[in-house]
Amino acid sequence: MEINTQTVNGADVLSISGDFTVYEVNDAHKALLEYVESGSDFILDLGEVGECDTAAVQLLFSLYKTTAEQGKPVLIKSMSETVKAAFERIGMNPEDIGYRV
Amino acid sequence: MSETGAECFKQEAMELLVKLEDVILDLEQNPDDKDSIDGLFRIIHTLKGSGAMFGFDKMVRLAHNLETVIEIVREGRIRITAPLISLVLNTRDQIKALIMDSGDDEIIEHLIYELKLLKTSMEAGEIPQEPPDDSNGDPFLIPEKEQEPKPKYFRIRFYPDTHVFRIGMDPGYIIQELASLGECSKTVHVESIPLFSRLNPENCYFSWDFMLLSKKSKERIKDVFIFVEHNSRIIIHEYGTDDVDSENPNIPLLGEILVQRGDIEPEKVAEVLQDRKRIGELLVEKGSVSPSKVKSALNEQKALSDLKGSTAGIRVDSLKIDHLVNLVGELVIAKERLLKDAVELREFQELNIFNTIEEVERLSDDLRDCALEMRMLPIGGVFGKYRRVVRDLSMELGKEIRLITEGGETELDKNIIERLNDPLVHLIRNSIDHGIEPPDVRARNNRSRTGTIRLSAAYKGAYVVITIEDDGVGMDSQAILDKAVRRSLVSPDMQLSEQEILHLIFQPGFSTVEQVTRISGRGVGMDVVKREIDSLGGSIRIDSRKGEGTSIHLSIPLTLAIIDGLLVSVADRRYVLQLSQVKECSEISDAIMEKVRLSNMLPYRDGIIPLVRLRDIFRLDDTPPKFEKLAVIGVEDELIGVIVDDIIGNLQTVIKTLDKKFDFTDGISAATILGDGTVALILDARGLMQWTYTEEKRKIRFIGR
Repeated sequence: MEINTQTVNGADVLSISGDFTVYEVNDAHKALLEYVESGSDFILDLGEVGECDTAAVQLLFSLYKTTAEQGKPVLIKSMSETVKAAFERIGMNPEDIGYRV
Repeated sequence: MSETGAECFKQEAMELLVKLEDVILDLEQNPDDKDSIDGLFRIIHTLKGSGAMFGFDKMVRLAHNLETVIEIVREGRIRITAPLISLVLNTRDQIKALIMDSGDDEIIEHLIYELKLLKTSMEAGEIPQEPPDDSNGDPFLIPEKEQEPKPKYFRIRFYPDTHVFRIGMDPGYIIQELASLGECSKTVHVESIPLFSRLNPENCYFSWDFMLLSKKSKERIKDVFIFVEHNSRIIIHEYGTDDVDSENPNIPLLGEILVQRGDIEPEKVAEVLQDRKRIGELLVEKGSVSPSKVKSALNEQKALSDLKGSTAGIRVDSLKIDHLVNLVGELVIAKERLLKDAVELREFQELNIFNTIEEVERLSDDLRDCALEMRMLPIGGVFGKYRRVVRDLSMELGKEIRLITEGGETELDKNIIERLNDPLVHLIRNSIDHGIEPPDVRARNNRSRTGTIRLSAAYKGAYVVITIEDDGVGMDSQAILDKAVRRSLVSPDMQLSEQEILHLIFQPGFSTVEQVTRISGRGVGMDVVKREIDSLGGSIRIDSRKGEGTSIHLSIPLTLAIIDGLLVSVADRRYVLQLSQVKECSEISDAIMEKVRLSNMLPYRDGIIPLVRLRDIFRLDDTPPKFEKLAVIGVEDELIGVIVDDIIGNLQTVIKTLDKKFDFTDGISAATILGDGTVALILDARGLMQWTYTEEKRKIRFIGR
C-alpha cells in the first residue's frame, strides 16, 4: 500500500494505491488520523486500490462516521472494483460511506 | 505465507488425513452413520480451506472434487459403498502425496475425472458400474423422492471474534460462501464501529444477521463458519424445525431485539443488566438455596466454561523434548554424583547439606517423570494405521478379516512407538498372509468366513505387552522344525520344546514362505522383527496351536531413556541390573556355592533356575570374596540367578545405547555413566538366559564329541 498526497485546488487528495487489507490498516489509520484530528478538508482516492478486505471497509466506515459527525464527511473521489466488491460481500454499499457512482 | 506456517499446515494436515482414514474405515462398517459422514465432510472441508491459505492449489482442487461428492452423500442422495470408499481412500493418498510435494499428476487427473463422473452421474440420477438393484443388497442410490430436499429458511446471526482479522480470516469470504448456498439477504451491524480516533483497525467490530433460503442442511451451513467457530458467536436458526423446540436458546433476548431495531443503545441495555440482581443472589434472598450451594454451582459453571475454553495443548518440536530428556538425564547423573560426594562429606561431619540434597533429589525425580511423560503417547494412534493395512491386504488377497484393537490408550515413549511400527506391520502382514485362511477354506472347516485379528496393548509392570492374535491356521511346529533342519539351523537329533521350535522362525535365514508373496515375502524376515524388539530392550513370545490360531506377545519397556537399576560389582567392575527384573537378592554360602558350581543350576523355590557368575562371563580372574552375593532376575516366569561380588544398591540411571556392533552380544542391553564418570554395562535377564543356553549347548556338543 502507498498513500500519496497531492494538493488540488487547495484541498489535499490522498490516493491509496496497492493492497488495502488488514496488513495495511494500521499504517492507513496512522496516516489518516492526522487529517481527522486536525479537522482539515481532504479527499480520498480509492481508484487504484488492489486487494481490499473487510478490515479496510471497517476503517473507511469509521472514517466516514467520524468525519460526518464533525460535519465534514470525507469525500471519496473514486473507488476501484475491488473496494466495491469488499463492501458488497459483507452486505454493505459504497453509498454507506457517501460514495456515489 | 511463511515457511513455518506451511510447516504447521503440513503437520495439521497429516493429523487430519489420519482421522480421515479412520472415519472412512468406520463408515465401511456403518455406512449410514450420520456423525461419521459429517466428520468426513468437515475434515475434507478443513483440508481444502487451510490448504488454500497456504497455496496448495493442486491439493485444494482434488479436495474440492472429493468434497463435492461427499456433500451429495451427506445430503442423503447416495449411500456409502465399497467402490466409493476405495475412491475416497485413493484420493486421500494423493492428497497426502500432494502435501508432501510428491503427487502423481496422472493419478490425480484420473481421480478428479472419476470424482466428477460420479458427481455428474449422481446428479443425472444414474450410477456407472453399479446399477441400483435391490436384490444386490447394495443400492447406490436412494429412491428418487428423497433426493430433492425442499429449501428452508435459516436465520443466522454471526458475531465474529474481535480478533478474527488477526488470525488471517476475513469474514467477507465466509459471508460470500454462505451466500453461495442459496438466496441470502444480509444485514450488517455497524453500530459498534468506534470513532476513528478510538478505532483499533485490526479489531473486528462488525456483526451480521442473515436470512438464507437454502436446500442445504443446517450442518452444511454451520460448516461455513468452521474456521471461526471457536471464538465467534454463531447462531443458526432453522425455521420449521427449530421452532418447536421450546428450550431453544437461539431466540434473541428482548434487549438484543431492541438494540437491533435501533430503539436503544447497546450500552444502555448493558447498564440496566448490570443493575439487575443475579439469579443466585435472588434465590439466596428468598431462602430457596444456601449461599454455599450457589457458590458451588457457580464453581461448576466456571469449570464447565473453563473446560470449553481450554485448548488441547501446544505443539512442541519432538527434538526439543528429546533435548529436554537428555538434559534431565545429565541432571540425574549429576545428582547421583552429588549424592556420592555428600556421602563422603558426611564422614567429615558436614551438616545440613543432606536436606538440600534430598530436596534436589525429589525435584530432579519429579522433573524426570515430567519430562518422560511428555514423550508418552497412546499407542492407539499407531493401531489406527493398521486398519488400513488390514483392509487393503485382505482385499488384495480376497480374505475377509476383521481387526479388533484394544488398549489403544496405553502409553509408550514416542521413540519406542515409532520403532515399533515396522515390526508390528510385519507381524500383522504375516497374520493376514499366512495366518488367516481364505473364506472358502474357513467355511469348509466349519469356521466363520471372517477371520479376526486382535491387536491389544496392556501395562505389565515396567513393560507394555502388545499382543497380535489371529484365529487362523496356527503354526505347524513339525513343518517349522523340518524347515529348520533343511536350512541346517538345527541338527535333526536335537530335542527342542514346542516353544523353542516356534522361536526358530526368528533365526536369520529362516522363512516359512515356500512361495514368496508380494506381501510378506519381502526378504525382511522375522529375524529383523526380533532384532528390532531386542534393541528396544523388549522380548517376543509366540503361542500357537495348529488349526486354532497364533498369538504373538511383545513385551516392550515403557521408556528407553532412564531406568531404575540395581548396581552390583564384580572385582573392580560395576554392572547395572534392571530393577524391574530383580526378584530377590541374597548371600550365598560356600556350601551352596560348591553344590551349584558343577551344575550351574540353582534350586530356587519350587524349581531349578540357571545360574551365571558374572566373574566367569566377563573373565575377571582375581579371587572372589568369601561370601558372594546372588541376585535372581527375570522376566515373567523365566528366571536366572546372577552371582556377583557385592550388591551396592539402587541407582537411577540414564541409558546410553551401545554401538551397533554390540547388537548381537547377548546379555548386554546398554550402558550407563555412573556418578564418578565410569561406564557400567546394563545387563538384561533374557539375554543372560540366552547366553547360558548357547553356552550349555556348546558344552553338550563338546561332550558329545
